[in-house]
Amino acid sequence: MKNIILISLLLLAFSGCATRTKVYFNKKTNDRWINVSNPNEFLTKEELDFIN
Amino acid sequence: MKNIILLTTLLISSCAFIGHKDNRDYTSTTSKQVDKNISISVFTSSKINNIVGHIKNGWGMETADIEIKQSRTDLIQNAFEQEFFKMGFTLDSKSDNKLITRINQLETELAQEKGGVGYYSICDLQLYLKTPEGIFERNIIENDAIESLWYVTAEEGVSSLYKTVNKCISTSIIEITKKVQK
Repeated sequence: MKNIILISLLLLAFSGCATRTKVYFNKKTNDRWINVSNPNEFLTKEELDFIN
Repeated sequence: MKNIILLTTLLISSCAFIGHKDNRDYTSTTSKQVDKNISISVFTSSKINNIVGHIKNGWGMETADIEIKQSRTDLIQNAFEQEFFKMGFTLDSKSDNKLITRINQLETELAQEKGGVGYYSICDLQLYLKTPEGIFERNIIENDAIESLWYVTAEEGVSSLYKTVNKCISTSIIEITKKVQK
């Protein structure tokens, strides 16, 4: 019984290590400015107030 | 039985339940100056709290928060103001050049990568720049990582985040300067 508990705890410890999340940051910066022809469509009221 | 108790103690001790509150401020490293006097007004529109990451246990479960001194909104706003000032810009609310910043993502994440462990930071900003020529939009993203074979602290995670913010703001200001100097 003792050995079963010991093996279970060891398995739990190692399986835990394997399930850690891997992070990949694939997002990239835009290489140019894009003209916003209709700001009312993209900006919030607070942002429009600031701009005007 | 002794082995089981020892192993259980070891497993439990790997869990950190106390959060990390970092009291350091963002510090500027910029020294470059703009060629002519340009004024600008800055506004950070996203309202985001001060939790920048999480402390995790050996199984990747989040057990505590990593907090910085100010909200992420204030961090970006202050960082932009500091860097613009050091670059030689004049901060003026009545300026023709206005910058709106939206924070898409600003965090540091503890993860296992390439056989080691590390804090991986990202700063993703959406910029809207109003100049006399019109309104322009651009997305600026920067990453940074601090890695170790065995262990990284939450403090190192915050250092990595501040480094990412510095890279992100510097890149943004270079691009803004090019745009407004045209």
